[in-house]
Amino acid sequence: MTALVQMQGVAKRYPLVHRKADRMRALVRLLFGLKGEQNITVLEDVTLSIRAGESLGIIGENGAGKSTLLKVLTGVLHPSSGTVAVHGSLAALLELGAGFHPEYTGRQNIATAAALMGMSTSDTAQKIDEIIEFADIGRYIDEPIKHYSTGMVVRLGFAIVAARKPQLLITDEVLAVGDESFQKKCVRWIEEYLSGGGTLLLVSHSMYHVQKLCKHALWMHQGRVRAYGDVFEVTQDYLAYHERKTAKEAEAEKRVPVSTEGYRVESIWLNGRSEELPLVLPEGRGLEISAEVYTPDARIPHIAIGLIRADGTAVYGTSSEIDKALATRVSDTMVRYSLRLDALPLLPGGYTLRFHAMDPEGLRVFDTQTRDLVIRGDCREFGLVRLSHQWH
Amino acid sequence: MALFWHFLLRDIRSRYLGSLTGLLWAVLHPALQLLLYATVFQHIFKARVVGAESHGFVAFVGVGFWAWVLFAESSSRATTAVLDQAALIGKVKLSAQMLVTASVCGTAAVHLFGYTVALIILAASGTAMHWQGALLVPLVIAMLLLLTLGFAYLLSAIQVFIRDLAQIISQVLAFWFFLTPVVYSREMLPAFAREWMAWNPLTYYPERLRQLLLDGELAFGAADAYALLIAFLVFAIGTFAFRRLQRHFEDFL
Repeated sequence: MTALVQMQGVAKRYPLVHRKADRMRALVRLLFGLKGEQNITVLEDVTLSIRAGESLGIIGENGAGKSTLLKVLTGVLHPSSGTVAVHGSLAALLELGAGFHPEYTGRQNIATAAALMGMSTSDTAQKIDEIIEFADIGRYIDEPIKHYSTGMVVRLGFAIVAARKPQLLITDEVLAVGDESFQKKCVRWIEEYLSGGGTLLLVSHSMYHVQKLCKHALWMHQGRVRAYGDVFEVTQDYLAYHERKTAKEAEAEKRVPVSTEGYRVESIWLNGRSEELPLVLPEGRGLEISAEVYTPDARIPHIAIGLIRADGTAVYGTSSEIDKALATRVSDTMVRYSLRLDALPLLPGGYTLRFHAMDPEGLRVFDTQTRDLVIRGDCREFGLVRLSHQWH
Repeated sequence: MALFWHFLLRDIRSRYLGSLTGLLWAVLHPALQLLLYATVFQHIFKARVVGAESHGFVAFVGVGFWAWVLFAESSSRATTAVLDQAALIGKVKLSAQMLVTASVCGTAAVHLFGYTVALIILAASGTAMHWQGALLVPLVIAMLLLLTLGFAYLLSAIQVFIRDLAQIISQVLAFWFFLTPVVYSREMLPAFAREWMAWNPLTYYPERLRQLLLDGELAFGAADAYALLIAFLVFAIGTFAFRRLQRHFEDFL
């Protein structure tokens, strides 16, 4: 398998160009072959290779550099450093109506767009009926583009790209604009294209589309690649990140200071691991938990354990007091609790385990410790947990 | 190349988009302009231009005028050629230099058509023209095109960075017109001014066209070599500057 696209250490930086003097200085510097001053970093150290037949979804927050990445890849923008090599034909649907002239009709714009993609005049003439049929916008094809709705512009754009049948297809969040039936048509077309050996690069905020169409995913975060790999792993991490972010924002307002006096959770082991990094588990596995609780007065404290989804939704909680569980004394000031959660029915996603040290009466919470848990899997069911079920 | 023709035709078409008579303007415009110059200079000012006596003033101006118009209009239109297509450059991969070339060639094509029509009108109305000279006119036009392209590359690239350039250049061209011997001849000027005018790269073109078509001076000499050198130099400088700057257009558009 050959690499269709090879990006090596690509960075993109923009200069500040608000003031007249800056532009003047930049002009003189560039004319004399000096490097321009570049102060705003949009992409940093992106290395990526896409092989023929691959389907890669690019996800990330607004402003993470997804569109810039595609523009650098298609050669619309020049990287400030690093190299980009593309072998083979590509067609890109980067922005709504990019390359279309509002004063010209749909038909005339098809000619321009086709020429821009390097199609010859005879090739275009041959395919124009196919394009018009796919776009399916009726008599609007002979109206100026400025009278089109956004959906029609996308229909036309996609129809041209579809007719081109490139080796690499790049689309940037444009499917979302079309109506339900056109989206389905596009998705069907892309699936056919992929099964015919096509290569796809898709930027989307719709995890549904990404999971449906892509095998791999790339998560861009603040101009860098944050994660790259299997589509389910990366999209689940990405969703968990968003859930945590929302939860953090909500929690920041109502955080209560936790007492450091008295009982506290000293250390935690998840499946024997004590480090604070998130524990990654395949779906349906069990989880072995132990925790040591510090006691200042030699009495035996209780422990409460809660499981919440990354966005703060409670999944389950219990305590040694409820279950009448017994602690093992480790030393005069330390007790240990151990428990096992069998075959977790959690659906893939990000979760947090919370540990609370409680007084021996099981009434007052003294301390909170958390550990993150990531459940992996490629199931596409919805919700928090899998309910056991059968279809009849 | 297909893309170049596409943009060239689009440029030409865009001038006449929505106009009723379309390309008829390309004929009408030069004819009207010649009529205007004839009326104003010959009948109102009763201008006596040295060197124009034998052929008449209209022929004198008509033969050289289009060289200036071609240069001036191509330059001023091309100045904003990159900026006008900013929507394309940031979104589609294409060569910005090709856009400028297409703009210049589009303007040139329209005016060369006009020039041909004007020459035919002049010949038909009794101006004696040297057909051997007419065969050499394309050479001079080719040099002019080279010079214009170089100038256009330079202007369009700088315009991306300094947006005042389009305003400045239209003023400069207005002055430049009168510093170029289009509606007068160099012989009418005092000696020192005549020398200075050799520094104007545009001086050569109307003068040489008049020599070829009206006077039948066909032999090429040092002046032609010098003009060719200047044209190449301007083309080289313009191309160099454009290539240097075009990578960075996206940051400044």
